[in-house]
Formats: sequence, structure tokens, C-alpha cells
Amino acid sequence: MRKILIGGAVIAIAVAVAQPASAGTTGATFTLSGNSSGLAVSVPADGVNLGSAATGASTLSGSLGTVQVTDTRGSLIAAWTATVSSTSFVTGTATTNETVANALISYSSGTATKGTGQVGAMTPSVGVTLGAPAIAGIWAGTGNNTVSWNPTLSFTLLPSQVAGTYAGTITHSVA
Amino acid sequence: MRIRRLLLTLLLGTLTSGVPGAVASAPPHAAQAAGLGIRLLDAPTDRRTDPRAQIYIVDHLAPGATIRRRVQVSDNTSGPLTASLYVGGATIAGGTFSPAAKGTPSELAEWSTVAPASVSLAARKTANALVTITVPRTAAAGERYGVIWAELPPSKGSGVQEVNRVGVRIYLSIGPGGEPASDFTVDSLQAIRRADGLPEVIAQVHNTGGRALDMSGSLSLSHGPAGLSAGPFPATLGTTLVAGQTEPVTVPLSKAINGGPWTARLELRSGLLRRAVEGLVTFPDHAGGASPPVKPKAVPLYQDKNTVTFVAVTMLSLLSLLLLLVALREWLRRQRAKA
Repeated sequence: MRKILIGGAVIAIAVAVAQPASAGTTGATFTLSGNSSGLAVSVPADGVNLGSAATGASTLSGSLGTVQVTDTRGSLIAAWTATVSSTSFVTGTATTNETVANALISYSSGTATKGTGQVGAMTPSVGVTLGAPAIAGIWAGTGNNTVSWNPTLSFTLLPSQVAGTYAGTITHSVA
Repeated sequence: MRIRRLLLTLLLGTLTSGVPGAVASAPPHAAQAAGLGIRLLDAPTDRRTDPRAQIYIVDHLAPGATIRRRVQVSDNTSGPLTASLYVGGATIAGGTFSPAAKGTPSELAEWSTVAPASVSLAARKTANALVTITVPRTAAAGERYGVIWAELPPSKGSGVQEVNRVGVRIYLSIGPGGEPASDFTVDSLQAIRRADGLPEVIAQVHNTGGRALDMSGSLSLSHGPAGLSAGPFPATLGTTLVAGQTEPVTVPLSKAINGGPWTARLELRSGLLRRAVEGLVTFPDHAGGASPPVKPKAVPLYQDKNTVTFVAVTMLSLLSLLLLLVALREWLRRQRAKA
């Protein structure tokens, strides 16, 4: 009889302990293991030349150079978003006619290439204007992925656009 | 008459420098990570099973609280790299997580510091940085979004400069007490056939909880023509919903799926939160067509961990109760025998 009583008590205690813990301690952390490097973006090449056009041309396009994103997080739901933003492109003293406003610059990522055997796809961007930060591409897939694309920039020029070498900065953000 | 031709040169580049091949080369090497990398090193213990908390900073803090998280920055190239580290803001709009441009004011950026603010890495080396986020006591309740950035210096050249930066997302919920509950509903399912002929199901997902959600999931078809079933088909990822927002989640199917009607079962999740709905869908015959949306009904998930635990606990409780009753009866019987 004593054995049955102890058996019953043991099971009752086991049941009480088995309840899932309702609140963990906040602030306690653990270290994520793994020797992956997470999310990585390529180093852009120096001295990109987008080309040239004669004065009076209304547009100019050029390739920016390959951007490569490497995701080694190994996530079941692997997703990242690449955003692009631009400054205005200016020459000389940056007066109105020496400026191509960033709203007149459009960006197309083109088709992205991914590594062989990788699962997923990047939604490309087509002709997005860079007046405000815009989506360059969104990747969705499973597992590690290495994706690269060579975007094209198109500038809409003013009829009064002044001759010169125009400079500006294009920023790619991947998160 | 001499035709003066003024060249409008955009981007004077050094002619000899390696202009990156505009021609697509061989597919990139799958195993190596290239360039500048960043990853999260610390995650909260009470979110150990949440896959989102392994790659993003996801947390709930009361005003006045501080959290510290380490990130690791890596140089995956064969040369040295310098990266500046800082926190920037972000918004979620139209179902997409959109980081803000550098210098855009943001509360999360004001509350955060990264130490060191700049790292110099040798080839193939890594360095750790500590991100400290201190929430002021006067902070309003609600969610804040941001990114911990590792930014490369601008590329050299007198024309186009490129800046590449990579980061770890932050989803921070601020408020006294416990974390607001997360929940979502699927308001409608719509079967369409895309312009290219591929059938698709579009689900309108409404975030009814208090935290942003990153949606993923799959759809299965059953009870179709001649009893056929198909799937599961994965949902297109990338939809991030702020609390209160409704955005579509699309599931592309296969051209082999004909009209129907089919019973569609859609299972969606964000982190550890999972919900399933079922609805009757019929795909239009012609490309570009759309059937009217249907309101699905919520169905229980299979292998719902909570249900299994509840059933197991109930059965153990009943068993222990039974044993105690048997012991009690034995004891009473013996008491009566003594008397």
C-alpha cells in the first residue's frame, strides 16, 4: 500500500514539474554557435565608370558593377532585403543645371544569379527611382544562398544639363 | 563649321582599374561568404527556440531598461577591410522591412551605441562589437525597428562612389510589463491565375497582435477533382507585418493544378506563432483571371505542441489520482479490518 501511495505522489510531483515554465528570466542570453559569417555583402570595385553622353542627350545608362550578397545563416526561412539609395549627382558648383537630382535616377537590378543548387529566388527591381531609398531586391528561400546582380543606373538629363564629370554616391544596404 | 562636341561624362574612372565585369560570370561559389559579413552572437535564453531571434534582435523591454548584444563582423576577402559600425532606423511599410538612409533621425539610433564604432580587419579575420540599447524612461510604448550596420568606406574613384553596408535587424517592443501577445488572422483566400498561367493563392493576412511578424508558411490542396491532393507549396517570403496591418501573402502553385474546387489548407507562421486556415478555392481557367475571395475558417494545427502537452498532463493527473484513490481504499479497508 505504501508503494502505491509513493507511486501516486511521485506521479503527482512529476505532473507539477512538467508544467511549462511561464516566464523565463529576462536579460539572460546564450551565445549562438556556428562558424558562419552571417550575412555578407561584397566590397565594391573602385573607379566605376558609367559612361558618357553628348550634351543634349536626354538619358544615360550604365552598369554599376556586380553586387554580391552571401547569406550563410542557414535559416529555414532565409530572407533578406537589399535597399538602394543615392545622392544627387553633381558637377562644378552643383547649381540646378549642374545637378542630376536623385529622383531622376532609376535603378534596375536585372536578373540575379544564385549559386548552383540553392533554393530560392530574388525578386528583382525594375526602374525604381532613387528619390527615396528603394528596394533593390528581396531574396526568399531556404538555407544558405549566394546571390549576385549587376544593376543598371539610368539618368534622366535636363535639356540644360551642363557638361562635366558628375559624381555621386550609391549605397546598397542589405539586412 | 567645327562641330563642338562637349562630352557629358558621368563618372571619370581610372581607365586601368578593374572595372567590374558587367558580363555575368560563372555562378558564385556557394560555400564561401564574400566581402564584409555580420552576424548576431547573443540571443535571449527565453527565445531559444524562436528562429527569428537567432538572426535578428527580437526583444521586449520596459522603459528604462538596457540590453547588450554582441555582433561579430568578419572580413571574408583576401585583403584588409575597415568597417564602421552604427545603429540606424527602419520602418515596415507595404509588407517590407525598409531600412532608413544613413543620418535619418530615429529613436532606436539615439538609444543605441556600438563599441567599437569602427573596426579594422585583416584578411579572413573577425572582430566582435557590443551593441548597447538603453531605453529612456519616457519612451512611448510600441515597436521600434532598426538595423545594426557594418558599413564599408566608399569605393575610390572621382566619379560614382559605392557604399555597401550589411546589417542585423532589430525588432524591439517597448512597454511596461510583459510582452504584448502576437497573433494574426487570415481574412480571405483568393485563387487567381497569373498572366503567365501559373495558379496562385493570395491570402490577406491581418496582424492582430502587438508585435511585427515575418510571415512564412505553406499551402496544401486536398479533396480536389477525382479526390486529388497536392502540395505543400511554400508561401513567398518577405512579407513583414506591423501590428494592425493587413498585407497579402502569396503562394504560387504549379501549372499542373487545374480549376478545382479544392480544399486549400494554409498554414502560416512567424517565429513560434503558427495558425492554420482552410477554405474552398476554384482557380480560373484563363490566365489573368481571379476568383472572388473566400473567407477561410480557422482549423487546429496538427501536432500542436500545446495540445499534446495538455493531453499528457491530464492523463498523468488522472493516473496519479487513481493511484491515490486505490491507496486510500486500501488504507480504509485495513483500518476497518483492525477495528
